[in-house]
Amino acid sequence: MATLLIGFVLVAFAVIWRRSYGITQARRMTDLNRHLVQLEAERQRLSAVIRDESSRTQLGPIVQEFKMHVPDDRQVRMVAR
Amino acid sequence: MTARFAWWRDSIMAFKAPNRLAVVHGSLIVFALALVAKSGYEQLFRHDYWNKIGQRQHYALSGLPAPRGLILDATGRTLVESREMVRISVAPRQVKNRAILGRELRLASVDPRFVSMSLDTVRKWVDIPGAYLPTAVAAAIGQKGVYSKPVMDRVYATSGGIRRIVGRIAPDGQALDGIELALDSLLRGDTATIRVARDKSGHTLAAALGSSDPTPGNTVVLTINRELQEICDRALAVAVDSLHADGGDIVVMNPNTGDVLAMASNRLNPSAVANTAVTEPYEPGSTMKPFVAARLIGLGRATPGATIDTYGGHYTVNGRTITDADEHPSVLSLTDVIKHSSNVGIVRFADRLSVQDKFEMIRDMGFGTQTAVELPAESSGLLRNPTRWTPQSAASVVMGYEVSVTPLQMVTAYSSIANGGELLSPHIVKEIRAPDGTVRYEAQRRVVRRVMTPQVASAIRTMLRDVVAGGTSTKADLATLDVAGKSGTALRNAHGRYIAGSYTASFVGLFPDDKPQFVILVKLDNPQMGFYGGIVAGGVTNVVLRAALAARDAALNRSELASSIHAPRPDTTATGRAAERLHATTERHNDSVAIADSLRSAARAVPVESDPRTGGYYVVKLPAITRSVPPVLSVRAVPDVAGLSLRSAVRALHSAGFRVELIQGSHSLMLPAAGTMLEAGRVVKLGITK
Repeated sequence: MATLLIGFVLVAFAVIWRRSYGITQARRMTDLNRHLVQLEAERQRLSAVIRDESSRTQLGPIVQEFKMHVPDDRQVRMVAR
Repeated sequence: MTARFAWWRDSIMAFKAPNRLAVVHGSLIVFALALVAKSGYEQLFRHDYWNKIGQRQHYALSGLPAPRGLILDATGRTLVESREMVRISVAPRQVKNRAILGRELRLASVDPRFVSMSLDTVRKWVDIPGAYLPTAVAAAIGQKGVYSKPVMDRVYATSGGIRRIVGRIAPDGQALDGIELALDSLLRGDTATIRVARDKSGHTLAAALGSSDPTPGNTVVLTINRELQEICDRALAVAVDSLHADGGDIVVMNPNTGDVLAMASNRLNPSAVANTAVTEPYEPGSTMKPFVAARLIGLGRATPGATIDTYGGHYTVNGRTITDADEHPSVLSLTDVIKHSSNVGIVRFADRLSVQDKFEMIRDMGFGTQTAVELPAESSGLLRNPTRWTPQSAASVVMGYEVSVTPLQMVTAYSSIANGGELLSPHIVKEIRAPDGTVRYEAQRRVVRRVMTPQVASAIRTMLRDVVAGGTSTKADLATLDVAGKSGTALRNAHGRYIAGSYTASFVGLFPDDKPQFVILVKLDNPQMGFYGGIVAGGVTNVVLRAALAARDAALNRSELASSIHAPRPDTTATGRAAERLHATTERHNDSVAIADSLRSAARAVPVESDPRTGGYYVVKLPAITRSVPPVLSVRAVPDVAGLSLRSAVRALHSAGFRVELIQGSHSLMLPAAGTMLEAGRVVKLGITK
């Protein structure tokens, strides 16, 4: 009877520990996943900023201030690929 | 008998009434038995019912939004992508530290009004409007009493033209216009439903149980070249601003494939977001004349050298006097009529065509019919049935009036001149790829019909070359490469009346003229600082072409271009002289002809591994292309029903998936013409005689 009781307590303990560990790990994974999503969103935001800032729409007015111009077709060298 | 009654009497007398304790025990036993029975019944027979209730109390189903598919340009650069944002809600009564939460919300730029509401314990629940970057609200979400929900947001390239092409998504996730709307079912992914555990208060715990990832939408690759698109956007914005125009459009197409390479639109009204290159038709004016010339030559009614008297540029027909804007000799050849854009000349030449010829000439070029490009709200333009033409109409249509076309239709029509006479179906979607990389749809070159012979197309290209070399559109020309094209300057129409002094200035160019890689249309609406198409729109064309040549990758095949380079012509403009000085400084020891020759030699010496479909452009090898499935866009050719009875014709059109509308007109009249690529379900008009 005592052996049965000890066995029951051990099994119950193992089940509870397993569930607690599982939930902790799941929470940790969720946190990491959330962090990943945050970083990915930040990466996309920064990529979009780089894309926008390097576009002709943004650069056009700036290069004009530096008196730069679109080259004449005579100034363009075309290298055959 | 007596003995029997005695037994009954003894029994009754022997019975003792139970005491109260026995009654209680009996009741308890009965109750326990009932409880066991009920428990057994519920366990054995109502197991499913109670299991469901239990699941509902302990678990909840939660949707995970699927990211919409990417939209890329032809070179694989991202134009639109999805990112995950979060919406946040606050339960003020559960918040432990209000000061910290208030600070975090303010740092995340939450509206101060909602920050106050979030800290007000009188309220049970506050939904904060808007979506926030996860990093911006990470600290706030970590606070007790703050709940977050992921939502998908779209990040667009800033280019105005690209935004008009790709369209928009409403805050609730509904596609509003552009590619987003046209291909919504393909771009939208499949939302995943996950099971999450709930605590005793009913709030979901963070950990998901048995979650599966949502399926992202398909990736759409456009034919648009982002670099060329930005060049067009910028050139158009500068032109509209400097010419004080109401707006404008630029469309660039590869005439050999039907790929739309750039499509820029600009309007004074900043809230106007429509892609006007496909939604807004205009009267093209003189850019219609080359098609008249093509039909005249094609039908053998004139040759390029045939001459006609233009009566000094003034000609009265049906009580209306037609005049020419350009000064020229009175007797002009058909080539000169196009070169000087003579209204009188083209009207007099067009007298050799019947009304039906003129109508078919315009119809066959694709005007009056949607091009079936993969964009919503495309206008078919306006081409009236000849039965509704006035006595003036026959002269008006050959000058580009009483006909409305979209910029895309016009570019498509000119592409047929550029490619040797084939009218192509334009497309803006190059490829659709599933999330695993499988190609689900790949655009193919689709020939609608042959509208002129290669010989006629070549003759027209020569005429168009003359227009730029010494006619009305010299502003469009380059020094070392030849441009062909035609300008148009048309009075603008409002409420059925032409407005004096208000013009649509346009130019359609073929670049380079011998082996065109671009057909480019520049249209400016009501420019105030000059209005001749050849000057204002031709000038913008020149700017776009020069920028495209100088750009790293603007969809030009440089190997082919190198073979078209010739010795530079002197440029007499101020810009040209400045460029000449710079050129002389940097290339003092190099003779330009020698450079051109060396480039030609290099082009011959270096074999180019080119895809025959793209003619030497970058060929993007995409991963995991394993199989193809039939195209998802249901576009088919309008069947030829000529010679069939009306009943059979209607039946054939219905069988092909089109709707039929009967209109008054010639029995051979069909709009759009046989061979036109149309989406299933579109209306085909069929003429019936009374």
